[in-house]
Amino acid sequence: MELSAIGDILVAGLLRGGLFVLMALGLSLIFGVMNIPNFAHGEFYMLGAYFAYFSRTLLGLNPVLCIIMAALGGFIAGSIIEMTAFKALRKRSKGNWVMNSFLLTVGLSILLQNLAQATLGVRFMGISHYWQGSINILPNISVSIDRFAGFVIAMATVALFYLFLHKTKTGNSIRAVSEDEDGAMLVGIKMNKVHTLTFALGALLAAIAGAALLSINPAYPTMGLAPLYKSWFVVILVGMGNVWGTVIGGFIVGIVEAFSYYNLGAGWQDVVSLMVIITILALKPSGIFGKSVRGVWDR
Amino acid sequence: MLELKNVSAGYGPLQILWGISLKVETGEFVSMVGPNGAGKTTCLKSIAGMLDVTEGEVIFKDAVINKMQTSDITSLGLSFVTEEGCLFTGMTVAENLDLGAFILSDKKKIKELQDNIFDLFPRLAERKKQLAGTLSGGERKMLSIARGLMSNPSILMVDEPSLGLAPNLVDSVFDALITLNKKGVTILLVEQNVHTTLEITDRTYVIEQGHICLQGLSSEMLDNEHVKSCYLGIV
Ligand SMILES: Nc1ncnc2c1ncn2[C@@H]1O[C@H](COP(=O)(O)OP(=O)(O)OP(=O)(O)O)[C@@H](O)[C@H]1O
Ligand SMILES: [Mg+2]
Repeated sequence: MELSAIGDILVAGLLRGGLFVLMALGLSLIFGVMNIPNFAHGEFYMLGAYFAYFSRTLLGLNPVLCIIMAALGGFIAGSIIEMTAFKALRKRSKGNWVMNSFLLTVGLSILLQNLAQATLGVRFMGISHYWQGSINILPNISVSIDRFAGFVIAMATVALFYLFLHKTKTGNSIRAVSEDEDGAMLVGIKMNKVHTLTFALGALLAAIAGAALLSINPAYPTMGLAPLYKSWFVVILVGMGNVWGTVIGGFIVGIVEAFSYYNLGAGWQDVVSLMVIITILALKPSGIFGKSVRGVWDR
Repeated sequence: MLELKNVSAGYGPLQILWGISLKVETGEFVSMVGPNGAGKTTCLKSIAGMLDVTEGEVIFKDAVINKMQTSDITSLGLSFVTEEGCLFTGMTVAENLDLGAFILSDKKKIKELQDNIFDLFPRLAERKKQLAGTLSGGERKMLSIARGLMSNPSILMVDEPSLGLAPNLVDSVFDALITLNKKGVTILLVEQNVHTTLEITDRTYVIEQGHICLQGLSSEMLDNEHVKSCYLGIV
């Protein structure tokens, strides 16, 4: 393989991976704090794309504002869904929470897809570009500004998110709940608030990912499936509850995909990603950086 | 300050507490002793709102608290240090202490509380940056008590602080509790270490099979025949 090809693959992989990181962070957060394996995560990506599309086409907002609108929309949708569906389930479901909440997310996923289809139709709703043109990131590798901006937005979001989790009181309370629920309640942290906020933040991250890629992946009702699986790949690969692990995992999956795309052709990337994941899990069942997963599934 | 009126509680269909009544007055140092499985931990959990009270009432500062959430009970000024500690093991000692003060917002007050705690447990001050999960068993106990104090509680409930500690550490934990009580913190202590407990506390309840079977001044308990034979090993 030529050097320039390797450069191409790395760049494409990193650009792709940046968005997987965003998706996977939300997934990992929601699982780590609330014990919900969220299979409706892709639908927040879809909502984000639609929010951005309408902000751009109907309201004519500038690209950055479109993405902020999508983030807000995702956050609000996430809070509403948590406060209605999951809070109700939490009251009733005592045992088997993981399974019950999993089924609820699957139901939500179908519901949201069909709602989108019923109200907006099945046609692609995309834009040609946020920012026109392309730039050279390496001497002979040029990428569209949109892709590059998507990457920058993803990384800025990850950095802000990390600072939020570690440097603010609210962020610390979210981490506390994921560390020890009883301990968190005993110091006076209100569980309901943390749960709603966590789910809303996870939805926000997914919505930003959907919005940032709008000019590359147009909005349509079932667009969330592929990124959902990709982000599960990442989370399975690195384990839960580790921000930096998730970042690295997102890039690994992105690069593996770009590599298979380049060498084997479109359609093979999932096969190769899954093979890499199976190999790693066979060697280290808790994921590359994962803590022991014992106990997580007991609750 | 704290009163239980005929409290019954348990786990699902399994009833553990059968009409427990007890009282802790402001400034008192009260203990609860009893054999393994008697229901001491269960009793503290139902006070802290971690377990449903099926009958009776828990009254704290004139409010009925047995329908309230744990976090709201903490906000009222009741702090419960569990046997396991429930520490945030992936976070540092300093972060654990900060979270202990979650219900407070006055930065100056928080700093003052932290300084007092570091006076009480100098070892924690040396290990501020260390992850709670990497502390020794004794240090974890200290941290869990310290975290419980960071909310500036009016009453502190401590479950078996001496469990698993070396004798000299047991003494220092008890000394810390005595100091706290002298400073005006009301304490409800559950302990297996009956002799020392009776020596340092004001009053004691003996709980057996979910019932209070004896109560009175700790000093008098030391002479009680039942206590002597069952808990102090004196025939
Ligand atoms: N989560 C639970 N589910 C069912 N039963 C429980 C549970 N926790 C405790 N029990 C039972 O309740 C009874 C009282 O337990 P509890 O922990 O209150 O005892 P304890 O007085 O604190 O004992 P120890 O001195 O050993 O700590 C025991 O018989 C115990 O088996
Ligand atoms: Mg106990």
